[in-house]
Amino acid sequence: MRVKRTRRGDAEVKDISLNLLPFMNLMTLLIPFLLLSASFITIAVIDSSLPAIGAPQPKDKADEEDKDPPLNLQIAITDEGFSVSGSAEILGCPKAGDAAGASSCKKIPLRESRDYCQQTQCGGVTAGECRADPACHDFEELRALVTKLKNPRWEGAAMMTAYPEEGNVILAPNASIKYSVLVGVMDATRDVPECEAGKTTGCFPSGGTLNPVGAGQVKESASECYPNVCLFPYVVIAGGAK
Amino acid sequence: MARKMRKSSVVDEEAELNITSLMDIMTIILVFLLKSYSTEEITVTPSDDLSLPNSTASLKPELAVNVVITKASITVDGVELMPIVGNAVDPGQKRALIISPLFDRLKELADREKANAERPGYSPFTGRLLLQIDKDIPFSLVREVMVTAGQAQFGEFKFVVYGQES
Repeated sequence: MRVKRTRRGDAEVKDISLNLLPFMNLMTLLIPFLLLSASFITIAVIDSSLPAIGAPQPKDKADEEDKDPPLNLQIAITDEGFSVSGSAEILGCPKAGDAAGASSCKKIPLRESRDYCQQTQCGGVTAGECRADPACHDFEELRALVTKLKNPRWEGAAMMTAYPEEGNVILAPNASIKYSVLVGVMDATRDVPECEAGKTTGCFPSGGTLNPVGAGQVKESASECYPNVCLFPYVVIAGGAK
Repeated sequence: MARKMRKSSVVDEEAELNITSLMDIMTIILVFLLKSYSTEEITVTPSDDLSLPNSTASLKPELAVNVVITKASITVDGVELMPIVGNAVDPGQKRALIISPLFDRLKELADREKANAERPGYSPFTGRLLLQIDKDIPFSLVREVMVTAGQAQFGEFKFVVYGQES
């Protein structure tokens, strides 16, 4: 640093210039490199596996009588909407041996709302090429139904759910159903979103370690939201409905 | 002579660019780029024929055999296998629900991975498949690809989607 003494003896600091050229060189190299490896979109994956084929496990008879029948949740996706079947009461499916068949199960028709369809099919884009159908699959209704089925609730400070052992959902889409609808159904049945607006709480809190039910969690705040509750995250895709 | 001297002394004076403001910009860009730096192992090349669906999923992708189904073609690990016309493969290249060229290629990959798995230092064969599928592809084609993959011993599917921003 160049310091000049004035006549009175005070030290006066003069403007000096650092040699920034080496640093500039570094920057010009770093920036193209980082630009190349920057990612502006987030990529995620949804797990699904083929159904295992094999002889059923021999069951203990006494054990079987004690327990409720397995839920066996199945969602058929057709051009008319969803048809949700399973052994739970609220789905209204006939008991085994009933003559009514699966046709009396809970149905969720298409929602006829252009705004809603615009949101789900075009991601909120209103202008341009994306034209939404006048009626589309109602994921909100499906999510509400599946959440009701799982019924997450606080009992004291502990999280309780119905069907704590069940995490499977079988999807049976019609051949003409678009892939985006399939993904929408998997999203709607996976986990509970409400904690923060627009964000799922995520039922894979520690990167892949599954917390299928969220039971036994300790309540942290006074709010009624359910952190890390999975509904039915294990997806099996069946051959398809007729 | 004296005039000449005076002139040259002006030229000799060291000219300096003020690059401080440029440095400011650079530093900001650097921080921003470092933030969006990613070391993700899979690459997605969006195009007119491939737009993945949006999802609320948050699971991170892992390295696996990569099958890309666009509106125009089926690609396995970067190698284009066959065209897709009108959201379906040519019926001549199918046996029932199995797409023959895809089956042959996946079988080959599965066999190679299994042979590698026996060597030290290689991970065992998982049968894991990353599926990048355009959002408008009908389920009939998705089903055929899944059946074909299942026959070629790939039984664990990972559907690649656009996740929510973290």
